[in-house]
Amino acid sequence: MRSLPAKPAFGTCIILLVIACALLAPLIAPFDPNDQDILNSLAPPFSTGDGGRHWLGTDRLGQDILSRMIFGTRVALTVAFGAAAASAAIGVPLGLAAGFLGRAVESAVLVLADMILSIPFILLALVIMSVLGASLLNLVICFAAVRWAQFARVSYSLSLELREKDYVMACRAGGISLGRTLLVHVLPNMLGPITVILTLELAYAILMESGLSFLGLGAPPEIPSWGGMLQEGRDELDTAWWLTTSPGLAIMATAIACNFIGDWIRDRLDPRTQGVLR
Amino acid sequence: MNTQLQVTDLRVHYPIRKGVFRRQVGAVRAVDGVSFGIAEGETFGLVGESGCGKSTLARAILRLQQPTGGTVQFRHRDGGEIDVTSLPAPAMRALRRDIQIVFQDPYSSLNPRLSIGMTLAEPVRAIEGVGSRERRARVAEALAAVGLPMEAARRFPHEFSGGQRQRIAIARALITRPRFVVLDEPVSALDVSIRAQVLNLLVDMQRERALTYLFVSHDLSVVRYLCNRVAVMYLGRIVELGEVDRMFAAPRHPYTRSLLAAIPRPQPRKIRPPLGVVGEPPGPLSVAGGCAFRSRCPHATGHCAAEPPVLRDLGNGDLVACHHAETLPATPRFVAA
Repeated sequence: MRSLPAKPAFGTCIILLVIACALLAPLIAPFDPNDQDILNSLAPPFSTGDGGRHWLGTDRLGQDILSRMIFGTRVALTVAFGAAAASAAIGVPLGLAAGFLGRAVESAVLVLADMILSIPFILLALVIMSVLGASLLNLVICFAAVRWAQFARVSYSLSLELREKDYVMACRAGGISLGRTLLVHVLPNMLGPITVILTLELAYAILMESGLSFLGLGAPPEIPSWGGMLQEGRDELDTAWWLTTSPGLAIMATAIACNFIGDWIRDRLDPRTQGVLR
Repeated sequence: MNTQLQVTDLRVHYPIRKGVFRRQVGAVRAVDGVSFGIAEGETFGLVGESGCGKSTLARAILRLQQPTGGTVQFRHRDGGEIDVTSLPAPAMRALRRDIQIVFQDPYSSLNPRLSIGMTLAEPVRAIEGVGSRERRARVAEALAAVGLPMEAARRFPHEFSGGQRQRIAIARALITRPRFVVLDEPVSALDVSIRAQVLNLLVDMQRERALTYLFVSHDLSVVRYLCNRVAVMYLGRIVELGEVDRMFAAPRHPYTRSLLAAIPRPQPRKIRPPLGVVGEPPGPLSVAGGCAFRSRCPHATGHCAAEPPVLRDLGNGDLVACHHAETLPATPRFVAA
């Protein structure tokens, strides 16, 4: 395999780093993320504490920020991938059904999707999370319950375009069943745009999970998460910048990495541009 | 000779819906009561300008578009006739083996993600349900028939030129060994230099396999080259139908005359008298009584507004839908002999 172009290479590095952190968290984190050291609270980066150096400083309870960052990858990845995958798994089939199964299905799916997307996400999430309670699984459920609409709309508009293509017509003329037509002839030609939406949703889920954790409705407080760290650091913004800087950068870098990889996958999936990339 | 396909009073109307309750307020009559028969082994031409309903008609015959009314009788292998428009889904699927289509645009008629071999094998798998080894043999045979090398099966559509793609589309249409093929402007998207090759391929295939063609086109010189009989459509109706040579020599309907007069001639400096046909077609939305062509026709009279002309036999087997067909001035020579 030849070397990757710069952007996907950067994205892949970041994502691999995040995945490695999530898998190896207990091995590579210098401290227990929930170890409190009140005497050493709000220590700046590079200061030495009880049992080692705090490379990224400590928070108000004296917990090591680097360790909490490392453990925070678990929440970010679980929620982001879980949410994007679940939303796509619900939304894409519904969008296809809306495009190919006639007017009744079409209206039902589109009206429902428009209703859901017209309500601010945070508002809906507040309701769902306060009913279900704060847990990682519930976060994923919450995302899937709302964000499927995005996938449904995109795959619906793609099926409108694709069903007019002569090769989809040719499937009918060739006696190919609707199921096989959708699976073999329609869905693969939607993968490019769907992948882009998928990566945007990954980034969106990471951002929104942070937002929900910030509001106290995301990950439960005993699980370190980037959003939760932002919230804890909010009060010290002018005195201890390191509480919010590190998780903020991590959220940004992960979101950008997702987008870079998404663009690259989209180009790879398109047979017309493969020769250019090879 | 046996009739392969008999279309009777075929209609395709698209409803126009308005208001909150999507009430139907009218209909676009894309195809409005069309009847004709195609004999076995014949190439039947269907011509008309863009938007006259010729592609819709072709798709309605294949049930790619559900007709609003009328029948399409298809003569089966065993000699029995079946009505395509009312066939239940499983029987329709079985019939698709015998009725195939080649689309106009070879760039959108092939799935960009499937190799040529996969694309060709799809209808064989779906309709005949044969195993993968025989499918491969059939693909090779189909490629050879249209003059493409075996290894084309492993390649993807974007690696081929327009003419090659159209050959592949023809191979796909013929791989189930159909008896009747709709050619929906099969050469309109191709370079002039490639057209003759593809047309000759179609002619060869017809001769080898005793195919019956419905050839949809707006290119009259191609129709003249390929077809035995031709029907001229205007706004969803047939206005003239007959032997291609006779029609090109002496068109009876004013619309056919204007179509033929519009064929570019190799002597551009030779001045031809204008025919007096003006304006654009009024569009299928406007519901007008009488003859649909009367707003553009130089010979229109009150009779044309009052009563729609029906197709009638002028005595030689050719049909024309014009009240004044007999009394029109003598036809100028339209086509150089």
